[in-house]
Amino acid sequence: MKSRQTKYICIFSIIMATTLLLHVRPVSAQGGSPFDMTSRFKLWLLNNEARAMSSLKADGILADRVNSPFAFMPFNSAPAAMAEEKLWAIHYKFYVLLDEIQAIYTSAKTFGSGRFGILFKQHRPEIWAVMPLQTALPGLTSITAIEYRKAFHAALLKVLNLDASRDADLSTRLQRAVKKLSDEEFRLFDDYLNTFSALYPSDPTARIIATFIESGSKKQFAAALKDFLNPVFTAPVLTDINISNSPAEPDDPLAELEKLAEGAEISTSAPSETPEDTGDEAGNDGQQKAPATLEPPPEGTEDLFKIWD
Amino acid sequence: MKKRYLALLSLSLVMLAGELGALELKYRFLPGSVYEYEHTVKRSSRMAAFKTTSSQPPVVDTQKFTLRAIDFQNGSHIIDVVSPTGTYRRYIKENGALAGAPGETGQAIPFLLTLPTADWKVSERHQVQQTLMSGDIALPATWNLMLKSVDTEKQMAEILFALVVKLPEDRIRRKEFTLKGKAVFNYGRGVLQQAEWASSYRFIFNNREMAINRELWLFDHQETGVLKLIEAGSEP
Repeated sequence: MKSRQTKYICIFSIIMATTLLLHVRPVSAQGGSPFDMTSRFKLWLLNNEARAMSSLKADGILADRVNSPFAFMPFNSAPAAMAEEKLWAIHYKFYVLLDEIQAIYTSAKTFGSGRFGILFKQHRPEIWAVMPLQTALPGLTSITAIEYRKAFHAALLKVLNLDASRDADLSTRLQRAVKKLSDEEFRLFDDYLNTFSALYPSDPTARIIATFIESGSKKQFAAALKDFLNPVFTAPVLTDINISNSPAEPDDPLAELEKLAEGAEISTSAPSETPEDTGDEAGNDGQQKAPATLEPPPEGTEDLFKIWD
Repeated sequence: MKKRYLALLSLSLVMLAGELGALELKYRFLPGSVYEYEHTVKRSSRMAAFKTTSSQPPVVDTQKFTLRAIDFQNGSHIIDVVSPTGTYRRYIKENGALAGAPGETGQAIPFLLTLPTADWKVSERHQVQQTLMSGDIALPATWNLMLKSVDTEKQMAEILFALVVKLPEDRIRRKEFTLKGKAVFNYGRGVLQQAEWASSYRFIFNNREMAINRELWLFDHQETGVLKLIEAGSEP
């Protein structure tokens, strides 16, 4: 009897825990952004603001109730602007600054090491993106390849919330953000950071923000981001629009991909052609022989894309 | 001779008793009459956050409103309050309490200054108590009234009034609210001739964690109100 009761309690606890976790998950998913360093300070200020606003409103209603003390008076008095509205306006500037600091910090942390840029250069997703078009319209793609790549790159930056003109120098961006505050406003911001650190000594949030502003405004950081934001696109020569005849750039992955795609095209469009005929043409042009089918390369040669292991 | 002195003393005592005599203050709006009032409100405020300060210069708002005394029924004056925001029907008791406000259903009725029905004596204090609601919190509030002086020639009674209310506080909020004023009541005509009052609200918001206490913000609101009877007469 007792064991059954324990079993029920156990099942009930599991159900409750699951329900709670299901409710908690979306909240944590919303609140948890990578490299979050401003949220706790921002929430502290927002919560204090909310408490003060609530008190001011409740007390304001009460003050209105006693400031019309006679029954024959109109009860509704005209609202007047109060001095605290200036404070809320300053705080709004702080929130904008904190968001900007967070965005700069996230960009620097994510892309500043240059690893993402290197990875991107290695794998060239923009080339893979235009590959279907290359197969269908090789000539057209040859002319517009750079534009495609540029468009892909621009779209990628947009998705990553990066802007080439804005993020090339994150230090300048940070300085620009800080300069939106007047000296007096920045002093107040600094006072808040110090207060937060004094109230919560174990929470480094405010210290990180202060240090980031101080050091980040002085010297350039995340310089590797610059290369990723402004890559060099090789322009095609318009006279050599024929892909099969145009010399491939040795270090241009697009050209290599085009070659690969061309080979795939030949194999699909002319299946009846003999390997000898193809070999003659290729030999006449003095170019590397394109494989008729995508087969594993002979031993000893390195496969560019390593499709097979 | 002695009798003469006694008679003179009695006469002067009677005269003095007349001066110190009890006074009844109550509203007596005359049906068919119109009373025009001018109400001036001046508000100013300031705020401080560390060394950052801001102040809102005094904003003055003056509006006139008219009372149309319609009737006196069941111990209440039926009055139309005609103001720029609209006309509101009020049922006002003789002591200034509100018996009804049909045009303002659902609105919070202010904490009104009512005149005690007892006889007023100079320097005698009276209290009117009510519970004010601040959100879900009930706050006991008291109007303290005192008859300061009586001008029998002009039939004017000068009344001092002050509000005592303790605003809700906790470990991060400290508040002070005061309201003091003066009213001149024309007891001959049964109307308020003039009143002025000033309220002050001070709110200090701080943060406390363990032994550390930091003041964050100070809010200071000042308001003065002046109410004057400009004209009283019959409906044209």
